[in-house]
Amino acid sequence: MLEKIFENNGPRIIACCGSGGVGKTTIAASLGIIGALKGRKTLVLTIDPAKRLADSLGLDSFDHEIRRVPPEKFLKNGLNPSGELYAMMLDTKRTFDKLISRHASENSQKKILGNRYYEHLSSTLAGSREYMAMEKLYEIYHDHEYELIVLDTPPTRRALDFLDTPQRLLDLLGHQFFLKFFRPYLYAGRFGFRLFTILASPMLKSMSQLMGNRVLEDVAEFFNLWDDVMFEGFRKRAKGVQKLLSSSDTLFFAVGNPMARPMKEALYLYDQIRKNHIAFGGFIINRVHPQYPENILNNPDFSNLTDIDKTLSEKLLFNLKKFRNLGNSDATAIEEMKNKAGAGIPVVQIPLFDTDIHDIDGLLKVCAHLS
Amino acid sequence: MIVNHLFNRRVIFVVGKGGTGKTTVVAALGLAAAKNDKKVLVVETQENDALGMLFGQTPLREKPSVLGPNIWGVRINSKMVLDEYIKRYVTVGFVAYQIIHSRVFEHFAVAAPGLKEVMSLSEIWRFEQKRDPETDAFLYDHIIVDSPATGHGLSLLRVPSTLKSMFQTGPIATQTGWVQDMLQDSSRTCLLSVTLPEELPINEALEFERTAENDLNIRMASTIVNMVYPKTFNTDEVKAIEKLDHLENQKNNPLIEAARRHIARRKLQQVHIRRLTEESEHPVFQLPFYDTNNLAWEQIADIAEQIRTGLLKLK
Repeated sequence: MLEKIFENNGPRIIACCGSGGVGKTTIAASLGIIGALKGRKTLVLTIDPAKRLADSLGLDSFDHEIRRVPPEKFLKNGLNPSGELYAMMLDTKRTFDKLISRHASENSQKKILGNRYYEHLSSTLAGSREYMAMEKLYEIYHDHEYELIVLDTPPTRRALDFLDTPQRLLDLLGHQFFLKFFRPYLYAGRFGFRLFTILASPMLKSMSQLMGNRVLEDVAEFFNLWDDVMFEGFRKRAKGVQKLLSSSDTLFFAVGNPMARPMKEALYLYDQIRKNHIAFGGFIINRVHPQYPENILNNPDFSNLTDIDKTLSEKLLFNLKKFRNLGNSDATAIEEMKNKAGAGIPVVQIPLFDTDIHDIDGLLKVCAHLS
Repeated sequence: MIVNHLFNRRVIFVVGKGGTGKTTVVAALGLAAAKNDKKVLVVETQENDALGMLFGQTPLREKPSVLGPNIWGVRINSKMVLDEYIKRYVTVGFVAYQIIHSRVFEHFAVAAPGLKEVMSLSEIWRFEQKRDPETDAFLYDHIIVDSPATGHGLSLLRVPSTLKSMFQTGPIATQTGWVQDMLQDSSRTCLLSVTLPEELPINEALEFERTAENDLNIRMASTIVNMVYPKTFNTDEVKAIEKLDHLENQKNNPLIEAARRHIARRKLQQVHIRRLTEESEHPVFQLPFYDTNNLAWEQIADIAEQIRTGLLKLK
């Protein structure tokens, strides 16, 4: 169903979005494998893989370098991909630090990296993780080292957060109102910036009474440095990142599972992707239960099951009924999604497997349903 | 005789990743405690209507309102709490107005480290402190919080410790201290973590427990493993089914095929649950998987009863 995307004129970036816990990493890794099998030099950029999956891809959790997935892993399964598969785990803070060092002079770099507010901004502020995933993507894309990059987006509660929260970060860093506000009161002291004549602004005075001077000074110092050395460079870069995401080189997939919330999230995400003129590849619904014929419980086949007693046969029937309900429930949810998404939007179903997916073997099973 | 049950604490933060069924557990735990004649307030901490939807009130109101017998619900709007805070402490009216309506402050509230979170926690603290003006008894016996799912659910609880060093003086620093005292007092606050019987969620639950107790000094009560396949078949039956599964003429029998699926999944789940039970310092409580994608009210009531007769009796 997704064959087309791996053709030569296909996208160079595939992004997997979806709410947390739906199996984005597994899907991203599988798409990466297909890319390599189709002969492309492929990189899977992942955020927080399960340890066993990371191990099987040859990733070390304390290492944020690009690693090649050893070809032996494929040979073991009788495969010899004509392309190459690489994987990398993203480190938000390091990506942010690198961005600073690219744009700022050595002296300013040191000041920014040492600022207490920067510490918060680069590691915990909502949106920094999401934005830095895009930033890294942009950097790798422009190195032209890989023919296909598969992005596994950070785990968020809401699927939309990946598109949503970076904007908040950009709003914050792309405007100068903080500086306009602070600068008249700011002077560079021997040990960094201090707010003086604070009493001249009743608002600043009240804010500092509420929160203490130090917070205001940290923030003021950060934005002063930021505006001097980063503002223009960052803004240009952010525009480039956003342009890349909406270019025809990028294709987004919404990953979900048949449960009510992830389905709703996936549809909402699709809506926003469309509104932002981003190319949409389709829905990938993970962990779907098999569907049984509607009349399966009418004539259960107990012939040849002569050994079993009444309790067990009742249990078997009860269990089958449960699985039939699950299959029906999933099918209804997927049908509803297809109706809401409209004709022509691919909806790919990946079955719920009896085993965990934690190695190339397992990923290949997923691949079989993706291509 | 006073029995020291796990859930004697008044403030219970229910934490866990998205998709684990955390909100369902908040609702069921609330219903269970309410049935035990406790007055319960369930709290939604983010822009989300999931909890309200379960109780048929979307979205939950920004002031506590009745959801059922003995149970109230509220949604915390941290910006509103912050604005009220400023009005309370900035005594010059027009300055307060100026701050609240300035764009700089609006951005500051988003960007400032943990300001929003500490405002949410302060509101929870106020609910904890609230007393009935007539009887002077606490207004709520339990405050059950549906914590945000981001940052391993810990971002909210981590804030007071981070903030203490940033805001050194002023009313927000004082308030942060009160919140911190409440969180770290194991006779007042506990955490209930919700996870799934799968590799990654179990790893995260264990990591969560270590961080909460060792780094944040907040006490865990229990970990709930949600959506566990029930033990439908006993050991002999499993053997019988496995034998049948090998027979050529049973290969495509849906009865056997469905049984095989159940057994395989359950086996896998139990491996992960065993690891959690071994490595966790606290009781592990299991909730069953229901054969639907949309829980009905009767199923939530069923979960509540399991919590009331099981989890709430744990010591």
